Amino acid sequence: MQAKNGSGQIISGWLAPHPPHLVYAENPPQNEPKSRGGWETLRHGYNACRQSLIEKKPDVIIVHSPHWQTVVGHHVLCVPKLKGLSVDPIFPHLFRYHFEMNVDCELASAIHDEGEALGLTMRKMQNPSFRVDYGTIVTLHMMNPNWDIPVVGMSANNSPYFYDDDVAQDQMLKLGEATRRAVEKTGRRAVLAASNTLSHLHFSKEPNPDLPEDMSKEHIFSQAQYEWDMKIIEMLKHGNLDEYFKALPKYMRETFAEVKAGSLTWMLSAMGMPRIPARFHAYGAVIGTGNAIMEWDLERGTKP
Amino acid sequence: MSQKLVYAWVPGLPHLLRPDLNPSYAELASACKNIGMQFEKIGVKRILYYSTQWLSVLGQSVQARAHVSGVHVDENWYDIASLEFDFKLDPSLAENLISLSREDGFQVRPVDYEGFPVDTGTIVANQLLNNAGVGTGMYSCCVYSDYEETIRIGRLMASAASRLDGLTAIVAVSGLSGRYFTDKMDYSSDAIRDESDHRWNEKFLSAMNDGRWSDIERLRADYCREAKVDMGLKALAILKGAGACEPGRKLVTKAYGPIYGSGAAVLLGT
Repeated sequence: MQAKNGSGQIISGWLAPHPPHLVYAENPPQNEPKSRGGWETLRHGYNACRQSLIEKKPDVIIVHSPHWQTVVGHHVLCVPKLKGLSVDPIFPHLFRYHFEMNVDCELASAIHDEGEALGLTMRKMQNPSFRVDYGTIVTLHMMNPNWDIPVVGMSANNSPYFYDDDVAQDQMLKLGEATRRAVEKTGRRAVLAASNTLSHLHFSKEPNPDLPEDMSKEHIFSQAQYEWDMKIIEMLKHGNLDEYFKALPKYMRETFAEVKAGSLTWMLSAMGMPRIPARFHAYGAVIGTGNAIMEWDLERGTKP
Repeated sequence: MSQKLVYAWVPGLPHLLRPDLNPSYAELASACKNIGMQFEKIGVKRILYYSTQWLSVLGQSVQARAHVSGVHVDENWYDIASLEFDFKLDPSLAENLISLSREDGFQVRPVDYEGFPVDTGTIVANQLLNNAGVGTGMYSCCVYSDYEETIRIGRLMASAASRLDGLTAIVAVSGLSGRYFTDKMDYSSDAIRDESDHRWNEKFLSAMNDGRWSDIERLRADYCREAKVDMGLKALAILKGAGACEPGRKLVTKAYGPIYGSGAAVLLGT
């Protein structure tokens, strides 16, 4: 892809959670295990995303994944084609996915360089045998199962988990800014994906090991967690980012929210902290976690 | 029971496979290889690994595939090494682990999948310890099993191994202080990141070397908190449950050093 200097833009951003259960439930040909369905509400929510991508025809999808946890800084996938079998070490009975993705290495390199220019520790992952994490794959599959749009995958620095909630959140703001600059400089029309759940307390045993898609056993982990998620969704639906960021530390502490990994902060920063209403598409529980699919359409802005 | 068991605690980062990067990595790797040679000399028939890098969240997992092979690239250290692995499983050990886990009330999932990503720690440990190519077993590190529950798992691991003929090595693959450097660094200048972490590691190692297990229990919570110890010392819980920390027994340091700021030690049970 040739750079179109200075004309690039981020056209939309998606809160796009990654439970492997969603891919398992859909029974795509790439995934070896087969199911009887399940988690339809969330899967239907992703249909809006798929339709939007067909209409908008972006050049690239950039995804930030909490399941590629890195110790030293922020990493970007930077191998032109990545292909292989990704077996989820946590849910191997649900997710054994034959992936094949084209990586926009020019953009990945630009994000790396812009991040360094802003003082971040950045690294390019250039090992062709790398097994892409299930968070990245699930989000990208659910957004675009045809895999016909190049991608950039970004790691989540694990400092907030290892040190403290507020550690490295400022880095996510810078990483977002670096991403926006790189998109603009390379001339891409980019869609962003924050691959994280909302509340993240979950079951510690499988409710029905013989039938993981047993929907009679699925529910949110707790009422308190549900109420927190609804509060957060309302804030985002009203574009009230000030209130959202004010609530974030307590939300993370009380629900172990996966936004702690920084994906949503990165995306909001990259989009310039848009005070536009986020469109809500779906909410549902997966092994007790709270998952929402939401869209920030920067082209449509505040229009309904 | 413990007459049929031997014990070790080793680090599981790929730096050990690159002794050229730092003399400390070479020393740690050499100590692991020496333990592997001792295992071979005393006739260890199988090695049972508990790596804090193989995580499970919904109950326990046990590797159940007869032959597991492939190439693994670590998500952090992908530029150090692509890790080829080729494990021959001891099927009787896996069966015992699964049945005893269920008898003890654990939800356990046998893992038998082509392409399953064996974790970095188990691969590194096996490359250094298992030159003889003996059968192996692998038990996951459940994030939500606390110290006491992990002791129970160590106990059932010992029972599962003791029901089989011959010697079994129970190997915990884990680190000590867990404070890594978070910036790019020349590997040759590696050091324990924090002097306080180093002191804590030395204090804890000294107590294990002397077999002062009541001191270990007294220090454990503070050590974990102050030095951010890898997975809250689940490695110790496993070895304790398996019998390595009984009166008169010791875990003796064979090597100690930094890996990207964290603390790493090679320990052999006596």
